[in-house]
Amino acid sequence: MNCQEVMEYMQRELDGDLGEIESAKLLEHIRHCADCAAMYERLKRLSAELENLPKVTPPFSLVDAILPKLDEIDRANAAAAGADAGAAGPAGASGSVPANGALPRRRISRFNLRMLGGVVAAGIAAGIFLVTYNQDRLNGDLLNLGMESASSGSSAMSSSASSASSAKPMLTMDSSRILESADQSGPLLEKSLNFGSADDAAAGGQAADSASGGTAGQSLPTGDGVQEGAGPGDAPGSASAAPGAGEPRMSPPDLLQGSGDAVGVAEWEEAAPDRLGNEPMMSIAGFVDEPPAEPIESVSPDGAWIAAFEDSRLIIRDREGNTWFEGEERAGAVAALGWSDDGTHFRYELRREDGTSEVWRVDPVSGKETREDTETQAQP
Amino acid sequence: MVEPSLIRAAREGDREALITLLREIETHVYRTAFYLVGNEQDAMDAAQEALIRIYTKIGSYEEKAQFKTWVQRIVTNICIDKFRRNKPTVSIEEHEMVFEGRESVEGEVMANYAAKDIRDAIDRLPEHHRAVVVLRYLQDFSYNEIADSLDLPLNTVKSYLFRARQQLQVLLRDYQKGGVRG
Repeated sequence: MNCQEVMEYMQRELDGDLGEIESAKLLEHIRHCADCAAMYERLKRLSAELENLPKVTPPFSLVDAILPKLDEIDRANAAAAGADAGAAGPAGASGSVPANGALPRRRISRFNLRMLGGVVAAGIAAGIFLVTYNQDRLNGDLLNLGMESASSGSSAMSSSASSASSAKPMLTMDSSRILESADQSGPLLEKSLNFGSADDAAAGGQAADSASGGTAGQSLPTGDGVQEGAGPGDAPGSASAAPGAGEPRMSPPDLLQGSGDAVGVAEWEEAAPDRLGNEPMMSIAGFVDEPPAEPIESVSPDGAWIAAFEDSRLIIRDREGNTWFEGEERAGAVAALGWSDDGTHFRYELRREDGTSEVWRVDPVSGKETREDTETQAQP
Repeated sequence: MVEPSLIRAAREGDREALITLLREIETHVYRTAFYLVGNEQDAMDAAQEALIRIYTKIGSYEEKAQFKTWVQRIVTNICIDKFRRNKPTVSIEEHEMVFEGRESVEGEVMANYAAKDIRDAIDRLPEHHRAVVVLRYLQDFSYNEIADSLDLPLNTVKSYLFRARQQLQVLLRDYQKGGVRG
């Protein structure tokens, strides 16, 4: 046995990897070889020191620190599930897929990626229509507002879709040309989202965000005249009933707010690819689809509850699909909605045609709902 | 050791179980990150990123792999990919089998290496050698578990670990002599 071989034995001995016979051979060699004995001593000491390295612990709980981010991820996934249900039509019971069902989630987000390009194109097309509509009917102020939104939509497109340059000068083109370019950019965007890296996808999400913000923003000047009963678009710019940054960002009005606010966009940029398109899709789907109430759905942060508006009434189910709360039928468009951070209650704001609004707070466990706006605090 | 039932519940979409699971592993994740990236701030960032990735990817964890090696694979990948530092590392080939005479040994045996010196020495190892050492000593992993975590052949793991220890031993001896410091 030479010293090189012994070296390996020493090393393996440190890891408890030597059998009895091998150990005996090692010791035998060391007894006669001072160099190896010295080396073995040093290695043993080193190994002992390594074993005694401080077992460092994080200065504060990492899980607590990332909880908000995890909530955000869940919301995005819930929105993905909700959007899936919306796109699937009235039978979309799959909207109640829990946030963490990893396998179904993957499928859903791919599905949405495919949808996104077309939806963004549709959103832009709808936005353009409204812009031109405004030109005919509304005064300059309102038009400016609409154009701002439209241009933010188009510049966001250019950051992620290679064909967006064709969409960029859209404000100077006539509406039929714009529709055309939007249609072209749709499939290309879809492609880049499907095959791009996560970064691309995040940028795409931002584009979709802006685009949807633009779309929804368009309905501000036109209101019910254009898309009657298009819930999400009906009450743009309204203060969300759900306060705080921790609230779900999935409601269309939240998106509306986000479109004009840099913080909202930054949050989108940070978001995981999973969430892209899903939330914007909801508002656009609500805008484009005929039954506007269908896609409005919100999953509580803990994934335990799904609130949905069906036939102008709020229904809250648990994740098994059991109905816990069924509200009265109420006229008006849902202007804001969201769960409390702890998931114990759901709030929504209803905007009526006469411009008044009401805020309702619902506790699914007790089945109680409370009117919360300034007018009254009374039970219904 | 994490309860298999907890892992299963987490995989099946039980969010509470998943959060509990993350709490159980966060110290292990952080510890690896700390010794791989070499400072608290980056370690916090890397560990949080790893936990988020575990949270989102738990569905892709297959039970035929050990959970702890799956976790360590995620955190070491993040540390190596994203927190790659530009610090000089020593070439692991530089010091082949240095044997010292008896006289230099006797002085050293009495003294303990300062923990700081050991950390500095670990810091100077090439990334994968460092990762092998960290998994072996901070996570108590076997050769096989290290191989699974780092996606390396078993023989490579052994040779990395053996070379790393030789290297550390040389570096520490140099430190003690007041010689070159990183």
